[in-house]
Amino acid sequence: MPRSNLALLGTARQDFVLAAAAALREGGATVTGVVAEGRESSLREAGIPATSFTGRISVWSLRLLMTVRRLRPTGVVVVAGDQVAHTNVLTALNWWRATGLLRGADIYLSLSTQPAVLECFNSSDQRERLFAALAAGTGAIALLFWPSAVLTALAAAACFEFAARLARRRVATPFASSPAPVWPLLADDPELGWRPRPVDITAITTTPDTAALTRRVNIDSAGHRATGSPASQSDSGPLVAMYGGAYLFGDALGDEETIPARVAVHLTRCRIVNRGVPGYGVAQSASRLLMDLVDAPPAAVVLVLSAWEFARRNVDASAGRWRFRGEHSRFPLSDRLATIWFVKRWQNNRWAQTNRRVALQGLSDGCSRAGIPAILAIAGPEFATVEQERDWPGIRLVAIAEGASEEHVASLLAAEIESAIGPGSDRENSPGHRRLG
Amino acid sequence: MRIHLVTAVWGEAFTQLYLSTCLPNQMTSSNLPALAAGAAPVYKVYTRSQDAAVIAAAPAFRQLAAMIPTEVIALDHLFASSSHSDNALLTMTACHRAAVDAANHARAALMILPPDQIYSDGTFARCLEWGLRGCGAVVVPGIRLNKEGCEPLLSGRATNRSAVLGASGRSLLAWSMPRLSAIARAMFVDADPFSNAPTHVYFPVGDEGFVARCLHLHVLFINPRRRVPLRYGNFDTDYLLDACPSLEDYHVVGDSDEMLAVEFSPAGKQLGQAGAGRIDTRTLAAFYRLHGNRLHRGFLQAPIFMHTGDLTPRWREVARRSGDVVGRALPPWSRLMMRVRGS
Repeated sequence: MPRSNLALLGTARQDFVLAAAAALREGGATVTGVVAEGRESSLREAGIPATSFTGRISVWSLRLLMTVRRLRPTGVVVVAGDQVAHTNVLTALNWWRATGLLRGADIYLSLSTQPAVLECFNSSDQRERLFAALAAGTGAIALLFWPSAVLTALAAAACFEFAARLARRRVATPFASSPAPVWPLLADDPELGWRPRPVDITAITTTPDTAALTRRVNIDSAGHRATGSPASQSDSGPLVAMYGGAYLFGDALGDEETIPARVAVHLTRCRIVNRGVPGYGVAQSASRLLMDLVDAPPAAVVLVLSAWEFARRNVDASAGRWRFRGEHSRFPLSDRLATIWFVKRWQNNRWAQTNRRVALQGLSDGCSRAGIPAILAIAGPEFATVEQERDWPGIRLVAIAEGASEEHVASLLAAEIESAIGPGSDRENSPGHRRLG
Repeated sequence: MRIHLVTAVWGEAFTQLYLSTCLPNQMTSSNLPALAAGAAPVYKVYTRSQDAAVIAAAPAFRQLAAMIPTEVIALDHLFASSSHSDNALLTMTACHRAAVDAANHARAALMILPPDQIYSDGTFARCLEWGLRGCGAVVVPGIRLNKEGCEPLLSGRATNRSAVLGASGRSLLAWSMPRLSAIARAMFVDADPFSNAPTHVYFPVGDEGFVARCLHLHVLFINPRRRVPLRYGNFDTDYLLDACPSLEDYHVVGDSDEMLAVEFSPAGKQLGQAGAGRIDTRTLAAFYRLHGNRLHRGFLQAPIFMHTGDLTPRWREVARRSGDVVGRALPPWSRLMMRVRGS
């Protein structure tokens, strides 16, 4: 778990720091408070180990850095209370992270409106700046020894850049955009790019000349979207977990209109959970599924994918990780230099293709090994590609016709699930009863 | 052009103020109707369930719903924690974060409308004009009025209510000047004590108004250059650096004839008016350093003319003097930029 050992940097008001510490401990994390001198006693009184620092935080606050390093945290959490300007803190932490001084610890924000929800804030700015400085430094030194070669290389690079800028105008907008959901329900995450946060949203929508429409979006603390009233579902029946992106999640739909909610109506003896996440591509959904398979395997898994999700990349190949939803570097080399933009694009496309193959392969292998029936439902022309790619032992492939209604897809999947788990399946769903080795 | 008009409001007092005064003001002829005619607006109210029912049932809101698409969105999870009442700023920011996500999803521009702010007639039409010209953001100073002093208007007893709610910039400013809140009065350069939260500094020009130099301006309209989420900081601080990073993207409304925004602050609200003596350049510089980023310091370069009569050479002279005073509190680079821009 990324949250297992957290250093809580308490620069906000003390009651917010205490609330964040309590909420995170309740979630199972080990928390150590790092607060300004004189503020540690109230944390200790609340049973939270605490250490202190002095002065304003900047990248040069080496004593604070040493204090944090001594804790060997897997994550450093900055508490934002009512005063929200923490740029200096987050900048300092990200510089330390970029230079390896934080030993790879991730940086998170905890906002006092939902203190238990951690939002990852690993920025790529500092890494890019270091890279740029290193390149400039090397170029300057080389210029002293091989001036003509360096100048020729610079001229060639300038020509490339000019051509790349012209080409980029034809293929893209100058700034990269991040996936955005209709509702405010995502928080950045270092493992998967982003995850759903617990929400309770009710929206009354009107348009002139039509009746008001009320929709609800509920996500619990485990990141599962509600699939209908609890009374309609079995508490003890086999757990069927459904994964996918915006199509499965039901981005623009109310809780009871989504595909998993409709499946739940068909399969009342099962407990259906909607683990779809808006914005996820194929490999992200498959990765989340595989993580859950290790942590708490369900009786059956269903991965529902649309053509749109096959097109999603969501990777930052140069950083070797998923792209964050809020990838908002203020020094994006790829925005400033078109050559880098093309290189990154090519790299990301390759990485995403590999990811997709590896993820589906992993899904097939993982489910076969665990003996868990897996259903892979694909909407649109991508079905044929995946079907022809190779054999998928342990996976039932289901084609979804383009433009099929949610109800049609749900009845199709319900029948497939029914046949996969069998009519009298006794697969229990107590968490972790079937752990993978 | 798709535009999301966003209001975050909750609690009886603010909901009442919004429904009785601010929403009718937004519906005057050259505001929402003009926007509806020239763009594809969606009006979004972020609130909690108990207030959502009141808003959706209010006559003013139903009138709005007959004009343009609306959404009343209850974010009850934000209000589940008991600390939210203690923490209105962050709750409001969480609502703005939701609005930014929705606008990014729809590739829409945003207009942020605080529930206690009213505008001169034509403000929305003018924002649309700037948006269609390709402007990234329109920023205006929100002048604070004493809420209690505006009671006849807010309670509906004022005889000139509809004239005030649909007033031009000059008329609205003339009505507002005698009703400035203590927070705003402490921001006048000759105030004693001068504000210790001087986000604005006002330089009076007789009884005709004042020249304002503002570190923080209200982002009335923004069409983000970069579709990024609002991750931390307020809507009008760090988000600006991410969404519209260049100062060239901003239109600072420099004349109250073009647009005017005034807001109602209760007399009990404390925001620096206690002060500590007269204006001091070093204190001002420290405030700018701590509470401003490069865009904010850029906003200070523009003199903002808040006037009830015609502009005369005297205004230029006061604007020049205001540049000198504020410039002394800025770092050398910003001061140089100010000279280069000739303000």
